[in-house]
Amino acid sequence: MTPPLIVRDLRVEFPRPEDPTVIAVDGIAFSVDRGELVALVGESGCGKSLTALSLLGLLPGSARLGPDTSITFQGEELAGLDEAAYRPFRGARMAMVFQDPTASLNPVMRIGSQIGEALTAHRSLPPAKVRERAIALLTEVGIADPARRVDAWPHQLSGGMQQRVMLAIALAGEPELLIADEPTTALDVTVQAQILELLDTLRTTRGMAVLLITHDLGIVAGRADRVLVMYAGRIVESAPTRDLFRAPRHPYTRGLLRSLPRLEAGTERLMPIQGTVPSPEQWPSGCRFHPRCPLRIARCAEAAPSLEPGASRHHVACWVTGEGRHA
Amino acid sequence: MRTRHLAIGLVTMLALLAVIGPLVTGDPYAAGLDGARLSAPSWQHLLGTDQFGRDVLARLGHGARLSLGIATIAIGIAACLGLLLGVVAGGTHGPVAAILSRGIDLALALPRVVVLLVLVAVLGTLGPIGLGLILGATGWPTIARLTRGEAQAIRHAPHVTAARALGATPFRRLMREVLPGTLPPVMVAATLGVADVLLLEAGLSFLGIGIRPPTPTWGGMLLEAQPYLASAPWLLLAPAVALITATAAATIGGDVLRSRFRMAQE
Repeated sequence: MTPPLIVRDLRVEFPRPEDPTVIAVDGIAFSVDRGELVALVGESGCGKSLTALSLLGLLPGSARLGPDTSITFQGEELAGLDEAAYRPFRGARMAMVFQDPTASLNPVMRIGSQIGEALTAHRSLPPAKVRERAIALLTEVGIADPARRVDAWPHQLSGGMQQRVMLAIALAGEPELLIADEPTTALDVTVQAQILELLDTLRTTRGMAVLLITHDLGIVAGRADRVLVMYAGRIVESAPTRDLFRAPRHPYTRGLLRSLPRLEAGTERLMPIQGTVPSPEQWPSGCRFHPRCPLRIARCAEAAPSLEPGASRHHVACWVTGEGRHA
Repeated sequence: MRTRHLAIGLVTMLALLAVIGPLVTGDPYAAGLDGARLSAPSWQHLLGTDQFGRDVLARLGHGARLSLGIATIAIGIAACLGLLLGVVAGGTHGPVAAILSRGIDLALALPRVVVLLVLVAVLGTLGPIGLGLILGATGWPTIARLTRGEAQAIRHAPHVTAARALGATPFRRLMREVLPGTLPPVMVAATLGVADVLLLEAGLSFLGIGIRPPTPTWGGMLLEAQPYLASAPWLLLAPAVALITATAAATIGGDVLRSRFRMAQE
């Protein structure tokens, strides 16, 4: 069976009348399988949120997809669909959870009604049924006392509970793909773990594909099946989570892992990656990580390495550590 | 809770004044033939008499029905029109929104009194309902501008994007996500507009195109009382207090409505 979501050559461009077009996401490809939790990890500005928005056709008006971009969802091509044609997919077949639950909930609507909005967006349901479903969804996302909370206002809930409500809203349309864009960034560390646990449970119970977008490599460790590491608009490494943490191949991934504090590491210093992420206007030639890379060779500045398929689904785009080095 | 009771109390009081006031107070037109002109409040005339010896309380009671009726019609129309046009102008984008926006700007640029004069010239002398209608028809631009601004801000709020990500249609986003958020400031503007309308109606009477004397209205009473400010202050005080009460009732009532909707707190 083919994966529900297959993305090929995803490019997000910002055309500018005077200056050259800015390419914020530069030809990335990945797929997410049923019941699989794939994490897309990268620093801010690397294009991961634009990737998420482009999947749902929610790019800002100033952006457009590249001509060769293909986003297939359950065999249907989404790239190039207009607003009306996209609507049946949103909420019903693919849903999204955003970063800031407080801002993503309508402050002037009870949470039960907001879940109801999602339930009735694509079909009609009698009010009693809506309420019943809303309570069931709140139960599913682990909200205590759902029969009472269904009538609560968003401001009466904690951040963690608000994010659970956002999840309930996202689940209302029974989506086959859930995109979670930094769902835990606005939350406390302990609450983060609970929300991730919940995401993990839901994809198992519902057989849902989940694309988790985050800047925090630490939170994906125990949860994700696969990790895609993104740097400056490209995926530089793609690997099953266990392999990635055990044997990271791309110098950027290695740098990210070395900058994470570990319990077993004792007193050794954390190693930050030198330099900063360049903005899309100033992306260097060749491999975009080369100016910050400790392993760089002459070739790195000249040509961009591609994400070569390697052994055991562990792919890396690097001239030095990837399979491409022998080419 | 207490605010709610206060609002209910004030509104009930005004409604009672408008409904039964004219029935229990005396004749508002009967001029005092006994020479009791400009007399101070007494047991016979609880709020005194005016320059023609007419009972101020009777005029206040009769005026309540007209003034409050006109204000209610006018504010109702202005708020509905203003909300509708403003939310479309600010909450959507495209040619319709652009045209509506320029229309609102244009309507704001026209002085209200001049427009009213033109309307009266075209339509002829108007009764209280007609007056309420034209006051409403000229009152919407300020509310529309306010709504437009709010709607523009809310249109890009994350919760509207979230609704779009859920497959909500543009119309549904406008009605369920944008419109409710614009209500609090509009409610405040509308309640404050009550006082505006009452005074404007008085001003129109003064210009001879509103409710004509001797028919009593609160605004008309205020105007008529001006020359006697020093000698007979109760003449001014009675309609002024009534006006303030009506405005306060509208404002507190608006507040109560707003907290019923539980507008964005914190």
